[in-house]
Amino acid sequence: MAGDIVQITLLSLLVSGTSTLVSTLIAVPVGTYLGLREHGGLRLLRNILFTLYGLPPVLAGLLVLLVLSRGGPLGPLGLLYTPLGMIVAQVVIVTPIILGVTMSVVAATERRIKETAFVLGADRQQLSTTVLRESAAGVLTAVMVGFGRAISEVGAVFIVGGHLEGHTQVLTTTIITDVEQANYPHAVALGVVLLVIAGAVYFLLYRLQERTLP
Amino acid sequence: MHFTFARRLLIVLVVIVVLAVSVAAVLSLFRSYVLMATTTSTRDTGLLDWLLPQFTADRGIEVRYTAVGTGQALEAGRRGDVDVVMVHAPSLEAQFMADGQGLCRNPIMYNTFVIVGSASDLAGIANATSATDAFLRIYDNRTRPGLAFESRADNSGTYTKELQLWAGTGINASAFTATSDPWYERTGQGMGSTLTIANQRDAYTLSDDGTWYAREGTLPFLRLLYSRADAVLRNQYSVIPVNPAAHPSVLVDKAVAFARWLVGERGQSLIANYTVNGHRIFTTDGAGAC
Repeated sequence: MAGDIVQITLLSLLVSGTSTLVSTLIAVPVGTYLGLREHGGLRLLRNILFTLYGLPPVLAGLLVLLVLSRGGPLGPLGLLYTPLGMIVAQVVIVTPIILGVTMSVVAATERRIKETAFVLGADRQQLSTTVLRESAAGVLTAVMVGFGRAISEVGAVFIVGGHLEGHTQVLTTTIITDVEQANYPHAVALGVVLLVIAGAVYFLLYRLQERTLP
Repeated sequence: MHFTFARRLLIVLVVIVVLAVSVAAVLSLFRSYVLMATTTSTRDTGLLDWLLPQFTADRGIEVRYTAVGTGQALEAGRRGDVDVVMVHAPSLEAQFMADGQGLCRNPIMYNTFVIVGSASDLAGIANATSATDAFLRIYDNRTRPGLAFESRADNSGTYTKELQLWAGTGINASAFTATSDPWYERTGQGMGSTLTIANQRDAYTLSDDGTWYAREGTLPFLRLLYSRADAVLRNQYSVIPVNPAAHPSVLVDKAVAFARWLVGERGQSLIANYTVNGHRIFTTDGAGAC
Protein backbone atom coordinates (compact mmCIF):
# COMPACT_ATOMS: atom_id res chain seq x y z
CA MET A 1 0.00 0.00 0.00
CA ALA A 2 2.83 2.40 0.83
CA GLY A 3 4.42 1.51 -2.50
CA ASP A 4 1.39 2.50 -4.50
CA ILE A 5 1.10 5.79 -2.60
CA VAL A 6 4.67 6.64 -3.59
CA GLN A 7 3.98 5.76 -7.23
CA ILE A 8 0.73 7.75 -7.33
CA THR A 9 2.40 10.72 -5.68
CA LEU A 10 5.31 10.66 -8.12
CA LEU A 11 2.97 10.53 -11.11
CA SER A 12 0.96 13.45 -9.69
CA LEU A 13 4.13 15.47 -9.28
CA LEU A 14 5.35 14.49 -12.75
CA VAL A 15 2.08 15.38 -14.50
CA SER A 16 1.43 18.63 -12.64
CA GLY A 17 5.11 19.62 -12.60
CA THR A 18 5.53 19.08 -16.34
CA SER A 19 2.29 20.82 -17.20
CA THR A 20 3.25 23.79 -15.02
CA LEU A 21 6.67 23.91 -16.71
CA VAL A 22 5.21 23.83 -20.21
CA SER A 23 2.56 26.39 -19.24
CA THR A 24 5.29 28.62 -17.82
CA LEU A 25 7.30 28.42 -21.04
CA ILE A 26 4.23 29.48 -22.99
CA ALA A 27 2.58 31.90 -20.59
CA VAL A 28 5.48 33.93 -19.18
CA PRO A 29 6.86 35.18 -22.55
CA VAL A 30 3.37 35.77 -23.98
CA GLY A 31 2.13 37.34 -20.74
CA THR A 32 5.15 39.63 -20.54
CA TYR A 33 4.72 40.70 -24.16
CA LEU A 34 1.03 41.42 -23.73
CA GLY A 35 1.60 43.15 -20.40
CA LEU A 36 4.05 45.58 -21.99
CA ARG A 37 1.95 46.54 -25.04
CA GLU A 38 -1.03 48.82 -25.15
CA HIS A 39 -2.51 48.62 -28.70
CA GLY A 40 -6.27 48.20 -29.06
CA GLY A 41 -6.11 44.77 -30.72
CA LEU A 42 -3.95 43.40 -27.97
CA ARG A 43 -6.37 44.69 -25.36
CA LEU A 44 -9.11 42.52 -26.88
CA LEU A 45 -6.80 39.50 -26.87
CA ARG A 46 -5.93 40.25 -23.27
CA ASN A 47 -9.61 40.32 -22.32
CA ILE A 48 -10.16 36.97 -23.97
CA LEU A 49 -7.18 35.46 -22.16
CA PHE A 50 -8.39 36.82 -18.84
CA THR A 51 -11.76 35.19 -19.47
CA LEU A 52 -10.03 31.82 -19.96
CA TYR A 53 -8.63 32.30 -16.45
CA GLY A 54 -12.06 31.09 -15.33
CA LEU A 55 -12.06 27.98 -17.54
CA PRO A 56 -13.56 25.21 -15.38
CA PRO A 57 -11.10 22.26 -15.25
CA VAL A 58 -13.83 19.74 -15.96
CA LEU A 59 -14.75 21.60 -19.17
CA ALA A 60 -11.09 21.70 -20.17
CA GLY A 61 -11.03 17.92 -19.61
CA LEU A 62 -14.08 17.42 -21.80
CA LEU A 63 -12.62 19.54 -24.63
CA VAL A 64 -9.25 17.80 -24.45
CA LEU A 65 -11.01 14.41 -24.44
CA LEU A 66 -12.85 15.28 -27.65
CA VAL A 67 -9.64 16.55 -29.27
CA LEU A 68 -7.44 13.60 -28.19
CA SER A 69 -10.03 10.87 -28.77
CA ARG A 70 -9.08 8.61 -31.69
CA GLY A 71 -11.87 10.10 -33.77
CA GLY A 72 -10.81 13.63 -32.82
CA PRO A 73 -8.36 15.98 -34.57
CA LEU A 74 -5.33 14.80 -32.58
CA GLY A 75 -6.57 11.22 -32.24
CA PRO A 76 -3.75 9.60 -34.26
CA LEU A 77 -1.27 10.70 -31.57
CA GLY A 78 -2.77 8.16 -29.17
CA LEU A 79 -2.56 10.53 -26.20
CA LEU A 80 -5.86 9.66 -24.52
CA TYR A 81 -5.48 7.66 -21.29
CA THR A 82 -1.75 8.48 -21.08
CA PRO A 83 0.16 10.77 -18.68
CA LEU A 84 1.09 12.92 -21.69
CA GLY A 85 -2.59 13.47 -22.43
CA MET A 86 -3.16 14.49 -18.82
CA ILE A 87 -0.32 16.98 -19.17
CA VAL A 88 -2.00 18.46 -22.26
CA ALA A 89 -5.26 18.88 -20.30
CA GLN A 90 -3.50 20.56 -17.39
CA VAL A 91 -1.55 22.85 -19.72
CA VAL A 92 -4.92 24.07 -21.03
CA ILE A 93 -5.99 24.80 -17.45
CA VAL A 94 -2.76 26.24 -16.07
CA THR A 95 -1.59 28.39 -18.99
CA PRO A 96 -4.41 30.98 -18.70
CA ILE A 97 -3.76 31.25 -14.95
CA ILE A 98 -0.05 31.97 -15.30
CA LEU A 99 -0.74 34.15 -18.31
CA GLY A 100 -3.36 36.23 -16.53
CA VAL A 101 -1.29 36.86 -13.42
CA THR A 102 1.86 37.57 -15.46
CA MET A 103 0.05 40.12 -17.64
CA SER A 104 -1.34 41.94 -14.62
CA VAL A 105 1.95 41.99 -12.77
CA VAL A 106 3.98 43.15 -15.76
CA ALA A 107 1.44 45.81 -16.74
CA ALA A 108 1.30 47.15 -13.17
CA THR A 109 5.09 47.21 -12.84
CA GLU A 110 5.48 48.94 -16.18
CA ARG A 111 3.00 51.63 -15.20
CA ARG A 112 4.79 52.09 -11.88
CA ILE A 113 8.34 52.55 -13.17
CA LYS A 114 7.86 53.77 -16.76
CA GLU A 115 8.18 57.51 -16.15
CA THR A 116 11.01 57.17 -13.67
CA ALA A 117 12.89 54.97 -16.13
CA PHE A 118 12.46 57.41 -19.04
CA VAL A 119 13.40 60.37 -16.85
CA LEU A 120 16.56 58.49 -15.92
CA GLY A 121 17.28 58.10 -19.65
CA ALA A 122 16.30 54.47 -20.25
CA ASP A 123 15.28 53.35 -23.77
CA ARG A 124 12.45 50.88 -24.42
CA GLN A 125 14.77 47.87 -24.33
CA GLN A 126 16.16 48.89 -20.93
CA LEU A 127 12.68 49.61 -19.65
CA SER A 128 11.52 46.11 -20.64
CA THR A 129 14.50 44.48 -18.94
CA THR A 130 13.90 46.46 -15.75
CA VAL A 131 10.18 45.68 -15.76
CA LEU A 132 10.95 41.99 -16.12
CA ARG A 133 13.38 42.02 -13.25
CA GLU A 134 10.95 43.95 -11.04
CA SER A 135 8.14 41.52 -11.93
CA ALA A 136 10.08 38.35 -11.11
CA ALA A 137 8.41 37.75 -7.74
CA GLY A 138 4.97 38.25 -9.22
CA VAL A 139 5.67 35.88 -12.08
CA LEU A 140 6.94 33.26 -9.66
CA THR A 141 3.69 33.67 -7.73
CA ALA A 142 1.81 33.02 -10.96
CA VAL A 143 3.76 29.82 -11.57
CA MET A 144 3.15 28.52 -8.06
CA VAL A 145 -0.55 29.32 -8.15
CA GLY A 146 -0.67 27.43 -11.44
CA PHE A 147 1.02 24.39 -9.93
CA GLY A 148 -1.25 24.50 -6.89
CA ARG A 149 -4.27 24.45 -9.21
CA ALA A 150 -2.83 21.61 -11.29
CA ILE A 151 -1.94 19.26 -8.43
CA SER A 152 -5.33 19.61 -6.75
CA GLU A 153 -7.37 19.42 -9.97
CA VAL A 154 -9.44 16.27 -10.47
CA GLY A 155 -12.01 16.61 -13.27
CA ALA A 156 -9.71 16.95 -16.26
CA VAL A 157 -7.17 14.30 -15.27
CA PHE A 158 -10.01 11.89 -14.54
CA ILE A 159 -11.66 12.38 -17.93
CA VAL A 160 -8.50 12.46 -20.01
CA GLY A 161 -6.39 10.03 -17.98
CA GLY A 162 -9.16 7.50 -17.39
CA HIS A 163 -7.61 6.59 -14.03
CA LEU A 164 -5.84 3.47 -15.39
CA GLU A 165 -4.63 1.62 -12.34
CA GLY A 166 -0.89 2.04 -11.89
CA HIS A 167 -0.59 4.18 -15.03
CA THR A 168 -2.72 7.29 -15.00
CA GLN A 169 -4.02 7.33 -11.45
CA VAL A 170 -3.04 10.44 -9.54
CA LEU A 171 -3.69 11.57 -5.98
CA THR A 172 -6.99 13.31 -6.66
CA THR A 173 -8.54 10.62 -8.88
CA THR A 174 -7.50 7.86 -6.50
CA ILE A 175 -9.18 9.65 -3.61
CA ILE A 176 -12.40 9.66 -5.65
CA THR A 177 -12.26 5.93 -6.46
CA ASP A 178 -11.18 5.09 -2.90
CA VAL A 179 -14.29 6.84 -1.63
CA GLU A 180 -16.38 4.94 -4.21
CA GLN A 181 -15.05 1.72 -2.73
CA ALA A 182 -15.26 2.95 0.87
CA ASN A 183 -11.48 2.56 1.23
CA TYR A 184 -11.34 5.54 3.57
CA PRO A 185 -7.95 4.98 5.27
CA HIS A 186 -6.20 4.91 1.88
CA ALA A 187 -8.13 7.99 0.76
CA VAL A 188 -7.15 9.89 3.90
CA ALA A 189 -3.49 8.92 3.47
CA LEU A 190 -3.51 10.27 -0.10
CA GLY A 191 -5.36 13.37 1.09
CA VAL A 192 -2.63 14.08 3.61
CA VAL A 193 0.04 13.75 0.90
CA LEU A 194 -1.94 16.10 -1.34
CA LEU A 195 -2.36 18.60 1.47
CA VAL A 196 1.36 18.50 2.25
CA ILE A 197 2.30 19.13 -1.40
CA ALA A 198 -0.26 21.88 -2.01
CA GLY A 199 0.43 23.34 1.44
CA ALA A 200 4.18 23.41 0.82
CA VAL A 201 3.67 25.30 -2.43
CA TYR A 202 1.52 27.97 -0.84
CA PHE A 203 3.78 28.16 2.23
CA LEU A 204 6.75 28.89 -0.03
CA LEU A 205 4.62 31.41 -1.86
CA TYR A 206 3.74 33.17 1.36
CA ARG A 207 7.38 33.30 2.47
CA LEU A 208 8.35 34.69 -0.91
CA GLN A 209 5.74 37.41 -0.77
CA GLU A 210 6.70 38.31 2.78
CA ARG A 211 10.25 38.87 1.62
CA THR A 212 9.55 40.78 -1.58
CA LEU A 213 6.46 42.82 -0.85
CA PRO A 214 6.72 45.95 1.22
CA MET B 1 13.55 44.50 -30.17
CA HIS B 2 9.87 44.15 -30.98
CA PHE B 3 10.75 41.75 -33.80
CA THR B 4 13.37 39.68 -31.95
CA PHE B 5 11.15 39.18 -28.93
CA ALA B 6 8.24 37.94 -31.01
CA ARG B 7 10.57 35.72 -33.02
CA ARG B 8 12.13 34.20 -29.92
CA LEU B 9 8.68 33.52 -28.54
CA LEU B 10 7.60 31.88 -31.76
CA ILE B 11 10.68 29.65 -31.79
CA VAL B 12 10.08 28.50 -28.22
CA LEU B 13 6.46 27.68 -28.96
CA VAL B 14 7.27 25.82 -32.17
CA VAL B 15 9.98 23.78 -30.42
CA ILE B 16 7.57 22.82 -27.60
CA VAL B 17 4.83 21.79 -29.99
CA VAL B 18 7.16 19.83 -32.28
CA LEU B 19 8.75 18.05 -29.32
CA ALA B 20 5.44 17.13 -27.75
CA VAL B 21 3.95 15.91 -31.01
CA SER B 22 6.95 13.81 -31.95
CA VAL B 23 7.25 12.26 -28.50
CA ALA B 24 3.56 11.43 -28.58
CA ALA B 25 3.71 10.01 -32.09
CA VAL B 26 6.68 7.82 -31.22
CA LEU B 27 5.04 6.63 -28.01
CA SER B 28 1.76 5.77 -29.71
CA LEU B 29 3.54 3.81 -32.45
CA PHE B 30 5.07 1.60 -29.81
CA ARG B 31 2.01 1.15 -27.63
CA SER B 32 2.21 -2.52 -26.75
CA TYR B 33 -0.43 -2.78 -24.05
CA VAL B 34 -4.08 -3.49 -24.59
CA LEU B 35 -6.48 -0.75 -23.48
CA MET B 36 -9.75 -1.98 -22.04
CA ALA B 37 -12.86 -0.14 -20.90
CA THR B 38 -14.82 -2.09 -18.35
CA THR B 39 -17.45 -1.66 -15.68
CA THR B 40 -16.89 -0.61 -12.10
CA SER B 41 -18.07 -3.99 -10.77
CA THR B 42 -15.16 -5.91 -12.32
CA ARG B 43 -12.79 -3.49 -10.59
CA ASP B 44 -14.67 -3.14 -7.29
CA THR B 45 -14.90 -6.92 -6.81
CA GLY B 46 -11.13 -7.16 -7.29
CA LEU B 47 -11.58 -9.58 -10.20
CA LEU B 48 -9.38 -7.64 -12.62
CA ASP B 49 -6.50 -7.35 -10.18
CA TRP B 50 -6.71 -11.13 -9.85
CA LEU B 51 -7.02 -11.98 -13.56
CA LEU B 52 -4.89 -9.47 -15.44
CA PRO B 53 -1.48 -10.30 -13.91
CA GLN B 54 -2.12 -13.99 -14.71
CA PHE B 55 -3.01 -13.17 -18.31
CA THR B 56 0.15 -11.06 -18.61
CA ALA B 57 2.19 -13.91 -17.15
CA ASP B 58 0.63 -16.41 -19.59
CA ARG B 59 0.70 -14.40 -22.79
CA GLY B 60 3.17 -11.58 -22.18
CA ILE B 61 0.48 -8.99 -23.00
CA GLU B 62 -0.22 -6.15 -20.60
CA VAL B 63 -3.82 -4.96 -20.20
CA ARG B 64 -4.61 -1.51 -18.82
CA TYR B 65 -8.17 -0.67 -17.95
CA THR B 66 -10.44 2.22 -17.18
CA ALA B 67 -13.45 1.28 -15.05
CA VAL B 68 -16.65 3.14 -15.94
CA GLY B 69 -20.31 2.24 -16.46
CA THR B 70 -21.18 -0.16 -19.28
CA GLY B 71 -22.72 2.62 -21.39
CA GLN B 72 -19.61 4.75 -21.03
CA ALA B 73 -17.33 1.75 -21.72
CA LEU B 74 -19.17 0.99 -24.96
CA GLU B 75 -18.95 4.67 -25.85
CA ALA B 76 -15.16 4.53 -25.46
CA GLY B 77 -15.27 1.55 -27.84
CA ARG B 78 -17.41 3.51 -30.32
CA ARG B 79 -14.85 6.30 -30.28
CA GLY B 80 -12.12 3.73 -30.92
CA ASP B 81 -10.30 4.82 -27.77
CA VAL B 82 -9.98 1.29 -26.38
CA ASP B 83 -9.13 -2.07 -27.94
CA VAL B 84 -11.58 -4.18 -26.00
CA VAL B 85 -14.59 -3.77 -23.70
CA MET B 86 -15.76 -6.04 -20.88
CA VAL B 87 -19.34 -5.17 -20.00
CA HIS B 88 -22.66 -6.44 -18.69
CA ALA B 89 -25.68 -5.14 -20.56
CA PRO B 90 -26.70 -7.63 -23.28
CA SER B 91 -29.18 -5.22 -24.91
CA LEU B 92 -26.60 -2.42 -25.21
CA GLU B 93 -24.01 -4.96 -26.40
CA ALA B 94 -26.37 -6.22 -29.12
CA GLN B 95 -26.74 -2.64 -30.37
CA PHE B 96 -22.95 -2.22 -30.27
CA MET B 97 -22.52 -5.36 -32.38
CA ALA B 98 -25.32 -4.40 -34.77
CA ASP B 99 -23.60 -1.06 -35.36
CA GLY B 100 -20.46 -2.87 -36.49
CA GLN B 101 -18.45 -1.56 -33.53
CA GLY B 102 -17.59 -4.95 -32.07
CA LEU B 103 -15.58 -7.67 -33.80
CA CYS B 104 -17.13 -10.56 -31.86
CA ARG B 105 -18.68 -11.16 -28.46
CA ASN B 106 -17.60 -13.81 -25.96
CA PRO B 107 -19.87 -14.44 -22.98
CA ILE B 108 -17.57 -14.95 -19.95
CA MET B 109 -19.51 -15.37 -16.74
CA TYR B 110 -22.50 -14.19 -14.80
CA ASN B 111 -23.47 -13.29 -11.30
CA THR B 112 -26.78 -12.21 -9.84
CA PHE B 113 -28.50 -8.92 -9.25
CA VAL B 114 -29.77 -8.46 -5.72
CA ILE B 115 -31.93 -5.87 -4.01
CA VAL B 116 -30.52 -4.39 -0.84
CA GLY B 117 -32.09 -1.97 1.59
CA SER B 118 -32.27 -0.88 5.19
CA ALA B 119 -32.98 -3.44 7.92
CA SER B 120 -36.40 -1.84 8.53
CA ASP B 121 -37.49 -2.92 4.99
CA LEU B 122 -40.46 -0.52 4.86
CA ALA B 123 -41.83 -2.16 1.71
CA GLY B 124 -41.42 -5.70 2.96
CA ILE B 125 -39.50 -6.93 -0.05
CA ALA B 126 -37.85 -9.70 1.96
CA ASN B 127 -41.15 -11.56 1.49
CA ALA B 128 -41.47 -10.73 -2.20
CA THR B 129 -42.24 -13.62 -4.52
CA SER B 130 -40.23 -12.26 -7.44
CA ALA B 131 -37.99 -9.34 -8.33
CA THR B 132 -40.93 -7.70 -10.11
CA ASP B 133 -43.05 -8.17 -7.00
CA ALA B 134 -40.28 -6.59 -4.90
CA PHE B 135 -40.20 -3.53 -7.16
CA LEU B 136 -44.01 -3.29 -7.05
CA ARG B 137 -43.91 -3.41 -3.24
CA ILE B 138 -41.39 -0.56 -3.20
CA TYR B 139 -43.59 1.45 -5.57
CA ASP B 140 -46.77 0.77 -3.59
CA ASN B 141 -45.10 1.94 -0.38
CA ARG B 142 -43.42 4.95 -1.97
CA THR B 143 -45.32 7.50 0.09
CA ARG B 144 -44.26 5.93 3.40
CA PRO B 145 -42.05 8.39 5.25
CA GLY B 146 -38.39 7.42 4.99
CA LEU B 147 -38.73 5.15 1.98
CA ALA B 148 -36.23 5.89 -0.75
CA PHE B 149 -34.79 4.09 -3.76
CA GLU B 150 -31.37 4.96 -5.15
CA SER B 151 -31.09 4.58 -8.91
CA ARG B 152 -27.73 4.48 -10.68
CA ALA B 153 -29.20 6.47 -13.58
CA ASP B 154 -25.85 6.26 -15.35
CA ASN B 155 -26.48 4.13 -18.44
CA SER B 156 -24.68 1.24 -16.76
CA GLY B 157 -25.52 -2.46 -17.01
CA THR B 158 -27.12 -2.34 -13.57
CA TYR B 159 -29.25 0.67 -14.50
CA THR B 160 -30.31 -1.03 -17.73
CA LYS B 161 -31.44 -4.01 -15.64
CA GLU B 162 -33.23 -1.72 -13.18
CA LEU B 163 -35.24 -0.09 -15.96
CA GLN B 164 -36.06 -3.55 -17.33
CA LEU B 165 -37.37 -4.61 -13.90
CA TRP B 166 -39.51 -1.46 -13.60
CA ALA B 167 -40.83 -2.10 -17.11
CA GLY B 168 -41.82 -5.61 -15.95
CA THR B 169 -44.10 -4.01 -13.34
CA GLY B 170 -45.69 -1.77 -15.94
CA ILE B 171 -44.15 1.34 -14.38
CA ASN B 172 -42.12 3.74 -16.50
CA ALA B 173 -39.31 4.73 -14.14
CA SER B 174 -37.86 7.15 -16.71
CA ALA B 175 -40.91 9.33 -16.14
CA PHE B 176 -40.16 9.82 -12.42
CA THR B 177 -39.02 13.34 -11.68
CA ALA B 178 -37.41 14.71 -8.56
CA THR B 179 -40.59 16.66 -7.79
CA SER B 180 -43.23 14.06 -8.71
CA ASP B 181 -41.38 11.14 -7.11
CA PRO B 182 -38.95 12.44 -4.51
CA TRP B 183 -38.51 8.90 -3.11
CA TYR B 184 -36.77 7.89 -6.37
CA GLU B 185 -33.28 9.36 -6.22
CA ARG B 186 -30.87 9.28 -9.17
CA THR B 187 -27.23 9.20 -8.12
CA GLY B 188 -25.65 9.17 -11.58
CA GLN B 189 -22.67 7.40 -10.01
CA GLY B 190 -21.05 3.96 -9.88
CA MET B 191 -22.24 0.97 -7.86
CA GLY B 192 -19.86 1.64 -4.96
CA SER B 193 -20.95 5.26 -4.51
CA THR B 194 -24.60 4.36 -4.94
CA LEU B 195 -24.35 1.68 -2.22
CA THR B 196 -22.67 4.23 0.06
CA ILE B 197 -25.51 6.69 -0.53
CA ALA B 198 -28.17 4.00 0.02
CA ASN B 199 -26.44 3.05 3.27
CA GLN B 200 -26.56 6.64 4.50
CA ARG B 201 -30.17 7.20 3.44
CA ASP B 202 -31.69 3.83 4.49
CA ALA B 203 -32.65 3.39 0.86
CA TYR B 204 -33.26 0.44 -1.44
CA THR B 205 -31.03 -0.12 -4.43
CA LEU B 206 -30.26 -2.73 -7.05
CA SER B 207 -26.73 -4.12 -6.95
CA ASP B 208 -24.80 -7.01 -8.42
CA ASP B 209 -24.03 -9.52 -5.67
CA GLY B 210 -20.26 -9.38 -6.35
CA THR B 211 -19.99 -5.69 -5.52
CA TRP B 212 -22.35 -6.22 -2.57
CA TYR B 213 -20.18 -8.96 -1.05
CA ALA B 214 -17.05 -6.89 -1.63
CA ARG B 215 -18.62 -3.87 0.07
CA GLU B 216 -20.94 -5.46 2.64
CA GLY B 217 -18.58 -4.86 5.57
CA THR B 218 -18.65 -1.09 4.96
CA LEU B 219 -22.45 -0.84 4.73
CA PRO B 220 -23.70 -1.41 8.29
CA PHE B 221 -27.23 -0.09 7.68
CA LEU B 222 -27.96 -2.17 4.59
CA ARG B 223 -29.18 -5.76 4.35
CA LEU B 224 -29.38 -8.22 1.50
CA LEU B 225 -33.17 -8.31 1.17
CA TYR B 226 -33.89 -10.03 -2.11
CA SER B 227 -31.40 -12.51 -3.49
CA ARG B 228 -32.69 -15.30 -5.70
CA ALA B 229 -31.48 -16.86 -8.88
CA ASP B 230 -34.48 -15.63 -10.95
CA ALA B 231 -33.64 -15.79 -14.64
CA VAL B 232 -34.37 -12.07 -14.95
CA LEU B 233 -31.75 -11.26 -12.30
CA ARG B 234 -28.94 -12.97 -14.16
CA ASN B 235 -26.09 -10.53 -14.74
CA GLN B 236 -24.23 -11.64 -17.84
CA TYR B 237 -20.70 -10.33 -18.54
CA SER B 238 -19.14 -10.40 -22.00
CA VAL B 239 -15.92 -9.35 -23.64
CA ILE B 240 -15.95 -7.64 -27.04
CA PRO B 241 -12.82 -6.71 -29.02
CA VAL B 242 -13.41 -3.46 -30.90
CA ASN B 243 -13.85 -3.92 -34.65
CA PRO B 244 -10.69 -2.90 -36.56
CA ALA B 245 -12.84 -2.32 -39.65
CA ALA B 246 -14.42 0.62 -37.80
CA HIS B 247 -11.28 1.67 -35.91
CA PRO B 248 -8.06 0.68 -37.71
CA SER B 249 -5.75 1.74 -34.89
CA VAL B 250 -6.97 -0.84 -32.34
CA LEU B 251 -4.63 -3.66 -31.34
CA VAL B 252 -6.99 -6.33 -32.55
CA ASP B 253 -4.74 -9.40 -32.27
CA LYS B 254 -3.93 -8.76 -28.63
CA ALA B 255 -7.54 -7.89 -27.82
CA VAL B 256 -8.73 -11.15 -29.40
CA ALA B 257 -6.02 -13.08 -27.54
CA PHE B 258 -7.39 -11.62 -24.31
CA ALA B 259 -11.00 -12.42 -25.22
CA ARG B 260 -10.02 -16.03 -26.02
CA TRP B 261 -7.94 -16.44 -22.87
CA LEU B 262 -10.87 -15.29 -20.70
CA VAL B 263 -13.16 -18.00 -22.05
CA GLY B 264 -10.41 -20.62 -22.28
CA GLU B 265 -9.76 -23.26 -19.66
CA ARG B 266 -7.29 -21.15 -17.71
CA GLY B 267 -9.32 -17.94 -17.58
CA GLN B 268 -12.53 -19.75 -16.74
CA SER B 269 -11.03 -21.74 -13.87
CA LEU B 270 -9.45 -18.60 -12.41
CA ILE B 271 -12.80 -16.81 -12.55
CA ALA B 272 -14.74 -19.78 -11.13
CA ASN B 273 -12.38 -20.03 -8.16
CA TYR B 274 -12.34 -16.31 -7.41
CA THR B 275 -13.81 -15.48 -4.02
CA VAL B 276 -14.69 -12.23 -2.30
CA ASN B 277 -14.90 -12.39 1.49
CA GLY B 278 -15.54 -16.12 1.24
CA HIS B 279 -18.19 -15.93 -1.51
CA ARG B 280 -17.68 -17.37 -4.96
CA ILE B 281 -19.31 -14.62 -6.95
CA PHE B 282 -19.03 -15.54 -10.62
CA THR B 283 -20.46 -18.55 -12.43
CA THR B 284 -18.58 -19.18 -15.65
CA ASP B 285 -20.38 -19.72 -18.94
CA GLY B 286 -17.58 -18.84 -21.32
CA ALA B 287 -18.22 -19.44 -24.99
CA GLY B 288 -15.84 -18.70 -27.83
CA ALA B 289 -17.27 -16.61 -30.64
CA CYS B 290 -13.96 -14.80 -31.11
